[in-house]
Amino acid sequence: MEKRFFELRFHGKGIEYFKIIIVNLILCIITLGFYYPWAKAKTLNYLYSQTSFENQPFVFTGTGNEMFRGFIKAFIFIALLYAAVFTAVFLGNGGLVQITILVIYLIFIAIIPLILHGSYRYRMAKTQWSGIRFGYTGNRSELVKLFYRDLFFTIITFGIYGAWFSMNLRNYILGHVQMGNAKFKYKGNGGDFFVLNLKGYLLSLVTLGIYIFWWQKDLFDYYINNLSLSDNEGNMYCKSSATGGEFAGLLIVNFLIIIFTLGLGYAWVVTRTLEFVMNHILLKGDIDFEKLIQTQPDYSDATATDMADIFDFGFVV
Amino acid sequence: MIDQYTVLFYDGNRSLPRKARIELSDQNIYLFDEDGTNIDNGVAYPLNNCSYSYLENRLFVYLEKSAHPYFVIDQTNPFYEELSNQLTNQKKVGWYEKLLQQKWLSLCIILILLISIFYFILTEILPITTVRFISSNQESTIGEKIYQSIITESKIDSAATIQAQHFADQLKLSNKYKISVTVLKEDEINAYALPGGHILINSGILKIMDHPEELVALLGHESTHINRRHSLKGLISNMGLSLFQAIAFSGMGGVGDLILKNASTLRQLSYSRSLEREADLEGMNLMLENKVDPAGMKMLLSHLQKSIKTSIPNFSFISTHPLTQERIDDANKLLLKHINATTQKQPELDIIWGLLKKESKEAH
Repeated sequence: MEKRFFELRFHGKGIEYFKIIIVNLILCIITLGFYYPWAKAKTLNYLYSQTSFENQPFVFTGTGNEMFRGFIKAFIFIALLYAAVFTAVFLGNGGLVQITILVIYLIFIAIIPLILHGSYRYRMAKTQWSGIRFGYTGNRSELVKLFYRDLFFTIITFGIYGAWFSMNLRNYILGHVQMGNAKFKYKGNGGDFFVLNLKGYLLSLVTLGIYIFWWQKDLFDYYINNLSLSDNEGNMYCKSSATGGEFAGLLIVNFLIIIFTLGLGYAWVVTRTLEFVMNHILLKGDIDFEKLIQTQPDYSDATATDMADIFDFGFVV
Repeated sequence: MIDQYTVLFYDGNRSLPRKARIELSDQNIYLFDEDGTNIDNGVAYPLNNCSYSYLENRLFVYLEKSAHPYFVIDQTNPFYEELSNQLTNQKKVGWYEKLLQQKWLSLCIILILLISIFYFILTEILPITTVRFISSNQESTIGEKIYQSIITESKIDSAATIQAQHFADQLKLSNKYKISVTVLKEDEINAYALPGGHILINSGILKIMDHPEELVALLGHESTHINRRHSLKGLISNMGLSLFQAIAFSGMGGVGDLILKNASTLRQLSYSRSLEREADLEGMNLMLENKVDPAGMKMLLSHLQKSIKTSIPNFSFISTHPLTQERIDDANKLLLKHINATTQKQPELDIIWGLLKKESKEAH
């Protein structure tokens, strides 16, 4: 097949998304938060259905019921942790409280790779395009080993190794994402990433923060340009076309929207940003997307995803 | 006629679509290949199991929960309208769908009403009802815990604390609670009360006072917060609010969070204003009970006002403390009422006051 450009677009409207957010909020308040898993499913359904690749929308097939099951498990787990802290406080022993909190921190750090693994498995299995499931094929113990090894290096280098940590994690996770039989690949390099951030940090200081937008652009470039997709016959490469000036425009307007609407404009911030991102990714290659085959299994355990939500850490991608 | 029913069919095994014909009968969808053979052995897909979405004038109909197989029908297809209507009629309409049909403005109003109701319950009803279940002893235990955590982070002026406590012991400030005074080495002009009896006074506020009556006024004010369990109520409503925030708004983006934060600031303005006023008036009554000249309150407030003027300009509207001038006016009104009240100079207080002033000067 000849090389050509592929089209990725976001069609969502701020006002539509705004209504979804408000309705979800209303239902979450009435149900004291128990509606959350369904709210999340509705939100993802909308955002996926408004994103198209080659004229076909993505589909999120996860359901509120699945996520509710995970939500309850995650909730019980966290309630136990809280109960431990409260017991320690009520026993009134300062030393005991500190030990309990320390143990909880350790548990928290220990489960991060498990949460990452589980949420990728769920989210990818529930992502579909042209009837073809995505999938995450990473191995849990490999990810756990990588995570602890790099965490250790990061601690003993006072955070400097963090750049390598971040890239190794990204290389591993994205390198195990598939779209049917086509495989993603990310080739980030810790050294490059470190230099990029060091440069961004120093120049932002020197320019009193103005460079932050160009730093963002460099990060975006780095995340996009190193990503590719291949099947047996061809490849597709991603390239960012965003400029620092455009990033400045996006982020400043987003900031103003949030400030002047007292946060109510959040929906527009999301839709504008998604539109910006999709419009600034060029995709070129010779994969025949009509030849994808269903290869990835379904997976419906959403515990890790819910745990990630409760602990509030963003998705890595 | 056959062309009308032609759709693009994705079978869920391959990404390659093929043309197919659909037929709708008895609320079921049947699919055929172009040559007329049944797809999936003529399986009937019930309409009410299907989900669908629209994108760019096309209707995407997902035949099963797994979202595959599915087909796409273009708006130009004459069958589009009918299929679209049938699907809409079949759709289970829950609360979510009903709400989503409303106008955005009505939705905002519903949301704001709901938040206000919960807000009222958590900040007004919950504290008043729960404090009844908390005994003074439990309250003191809670206050003691907060006290311990505060004093590990600040420096205590021990000499001044002894004198201030001695000073407070000469007065009758509370029937229920043991008032215990602590002076902190802090320049900020402030003092506050904890549930159960602790009063914390920054050395900064002692510096701006000239008369022992002002300290009585301050103690009277803070004791009122304690006697009326203001801080306990505040504590409970804060806990209720943060719990509410955590469960109802978790992961819902910035919206709920921001609304609540704004509401919280506004509430603190009015709530604490009314509480401060109450503490001023009741504090003056305590002064009268102790036969101390209530004019001390006015002097204290005037000193506060002066010190505020000499420091940074104060944007009173947004300040959580009521306007000092308003408070002075209120104090004046009460003073007029009690113009004939019997007060007497109390030599004990004067002596301790002298020592306290000396201590705080030496400390700086």
